[in-house]
Amino acid sequence: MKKALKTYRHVLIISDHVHRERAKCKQRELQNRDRFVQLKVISQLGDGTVEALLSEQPIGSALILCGEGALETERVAVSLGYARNDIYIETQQQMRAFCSQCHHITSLVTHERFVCENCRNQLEPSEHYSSYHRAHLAYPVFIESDD
Amino acid sequence: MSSKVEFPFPFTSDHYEYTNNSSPLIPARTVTVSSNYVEEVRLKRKLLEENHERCYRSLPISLESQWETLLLVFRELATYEPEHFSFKRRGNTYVFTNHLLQEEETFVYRDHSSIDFEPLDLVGRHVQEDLIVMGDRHDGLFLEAGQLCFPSNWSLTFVLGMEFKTIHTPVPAIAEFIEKVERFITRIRPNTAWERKNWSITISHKLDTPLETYSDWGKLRYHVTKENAGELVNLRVEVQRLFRLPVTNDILFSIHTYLLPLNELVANDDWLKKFYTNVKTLPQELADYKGISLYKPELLGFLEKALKRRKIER
Repeated sequence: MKKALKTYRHVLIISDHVHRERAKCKQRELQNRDRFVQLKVISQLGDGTVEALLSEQPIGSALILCGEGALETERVAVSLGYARNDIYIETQQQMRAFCSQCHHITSLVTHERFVCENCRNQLEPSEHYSSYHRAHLAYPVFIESDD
Repeated sequence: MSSKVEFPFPFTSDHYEYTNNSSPLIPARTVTVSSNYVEEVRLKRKLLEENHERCYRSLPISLESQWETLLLVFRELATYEPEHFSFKRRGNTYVFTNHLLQEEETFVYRDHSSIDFEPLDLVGRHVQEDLIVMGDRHDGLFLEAGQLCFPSNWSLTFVLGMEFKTIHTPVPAIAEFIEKVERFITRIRPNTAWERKNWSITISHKLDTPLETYSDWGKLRYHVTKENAGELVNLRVEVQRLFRLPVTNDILFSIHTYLLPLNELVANDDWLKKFYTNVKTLPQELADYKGISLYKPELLGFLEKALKRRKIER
């Protein structure tokens, strides 16, 4: 059974560029809980470039993989001695964005501007994450020409 | 008493500094009745009636602390403002009388059927403060209930259930500082209260600036000029108090918000100079966070003109 991430003292996050913001949020969230969190952003997971990094982590570390190709990296990690229960894969999960104007939550694929499904405001997701709502706060996009 | 005399001017030095600036309050009070009491309480009630889901949120775990808060605040009002409030017990029934509004609240302690609203929502309708209950759990402080009518660009619904540190994620460069503040709060002893002042700037004399209506009031930031700043720009000060509830051990966080138009502020030489130097030395990232960057040159221009007019050295 997987433990809660906050129970690990040392966490390694490996992310591709697409999921970098999500990985940064995760890093900040865990750092706020006094955990040592190392973030490595690479061009693509599963390209075999992280073996050395995985090998040098302390025993009992958690590994978070963000991005496509995570399963390949997981296999590499297991072959190096990681327990599957210590590996957390965050891929193919949609980001949830909390509309600051109407509170509706919209599922997104990317961290880019979007239109709220409910109030039709144009919004921009922020890094402010609520573990209660499991969503990022999204602010209205404001342009100077708005009257 | 005029609102200007009551205004809690927050700056004590001639340069910006991010500090906890908390001081203990003796007696340990959680609320203050100012000269705007009737007007502001009426505004709160209007906002609650029109936008209840935005202004009031709670988790079931907070109910005990809510009841404790209700008794505490009603007792405090009756003790320190006896000309305006009274609080009596008749058997199991409590009676709170608000003489300013000519109202009476009758309830049985911890009997939810005896009141029309949740306890925090009820007591909050008799004070000018926004009231927040933070649950002190073994792994942190969590926002578990709040009546928030006058927020400065934040959403109660979003932060409900969140931990103290993560609530403050957007505040730039203060991760370590926030940890210290959290440690400080967890060490507050029962029945003691601490107070700090937090400042920001509001465009228009508007107390209710929730994130939910940002697209309405936020655009005013683009309309500030050197000429209209005195009228349009207000120094907003939140007097924030933290009180350790002795029975549940949770924290009651009260926020009393004051606004002062710059035209009134610049009439006080000391305030004018301190406000000017603090705005001028505000780090860029904090100016961005407080939304001041959009009109900082216009604001400084207005203040420099006032300094010159009053022959005050910069």
